[in-house]
Amino acid sequence: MGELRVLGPEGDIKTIWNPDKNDEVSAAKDQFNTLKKKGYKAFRVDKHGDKAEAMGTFDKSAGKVILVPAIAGG
Amino acid sequence: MATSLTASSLGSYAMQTSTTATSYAGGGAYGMQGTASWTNAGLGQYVQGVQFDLRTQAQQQSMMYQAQLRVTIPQQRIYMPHTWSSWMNSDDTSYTTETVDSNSYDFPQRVWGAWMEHERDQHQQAAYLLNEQGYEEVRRENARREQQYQDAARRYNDPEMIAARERLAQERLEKEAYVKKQKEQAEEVAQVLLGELIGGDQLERYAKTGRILVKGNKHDYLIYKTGKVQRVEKGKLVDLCVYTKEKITMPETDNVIGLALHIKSDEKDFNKTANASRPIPRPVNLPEAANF
Repeated sequence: MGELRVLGPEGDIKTIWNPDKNDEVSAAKDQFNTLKKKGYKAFRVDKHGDKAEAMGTFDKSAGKVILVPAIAGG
Repeated sequence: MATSLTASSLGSYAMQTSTTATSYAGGGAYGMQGTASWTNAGLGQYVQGVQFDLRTQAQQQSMMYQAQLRVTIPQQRIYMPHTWSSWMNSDDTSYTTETVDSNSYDFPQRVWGAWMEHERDQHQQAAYLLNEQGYEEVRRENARREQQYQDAARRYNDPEMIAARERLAQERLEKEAYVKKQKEQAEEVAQVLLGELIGGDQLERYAKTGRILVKGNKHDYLIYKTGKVQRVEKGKLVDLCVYTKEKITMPETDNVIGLALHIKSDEKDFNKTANASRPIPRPVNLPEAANF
């Protein structure tokens, strides 16, 4: 199962998909791409967050993906 | 043209006048205009006296409106029959026959003095009119404002208004409580996610200390729940100004997660984006923090 976590005002919104179900994958991919267009950055993380790896494109086999707004310097 | 009267901080209005000669020809008119000084040097002392008298008089009447009271009075037009030139050349002036003996040794001074006295009378009249009119304007303005204050006080104490204010205050409190609760719930959700990333023990430490230590490839970073970020370098700590763009709306812990993930994935880009301030000496022991 894949898991998309989008950080936002409510904490985070979780979207899960079954890699074997195309409609779920498609919905998750759409959300991923929409947020990427808005400037969010996607990180594939392992269970303990040790290996945060930036994702350019959606990968349905990615386990947990966290979408974070871009950062800015003050 | 108009004359401005300004209430001074002493609770009075000071009449600041100067003559602006629009026409000084014989029989012409000149206007009185409120400016800073009396341009005719010979009349300065007199006008100063008028100002002083005005101040004490008005002070008693306008104590309530000590500042910012500005009233405008219409233009005063006073006929000034003679300029120096016309005074000298006019047939209907009597300085030669009544005032001044043209054969006297001080003839020029006497002519000048007679003209100045004449002019002074005219100025005195102008100042007096301005004084009276200005005073009346101030009195009217005071009365108008007094009425305004009374009306406002009446409205403020109206039972319906009191009830409306209390209702609004209650609604505001409820809204604030709702927003606060929403934020707390969002923060809880964010901490659940952080717990998934760093584990329960570290989450407890984060809850206790309010900061995490992120190990990058080149440096370590302290990220505080409050938004503060410090880069740990050899012998120094560098404050970084960097934040996730939705920080204002997001829970504080989500900002921490976002920054930590950026560091983990692309430390170079993170440091490029962040603005660094002057470093401070690094303490021997770093403050306790959860490990990310």
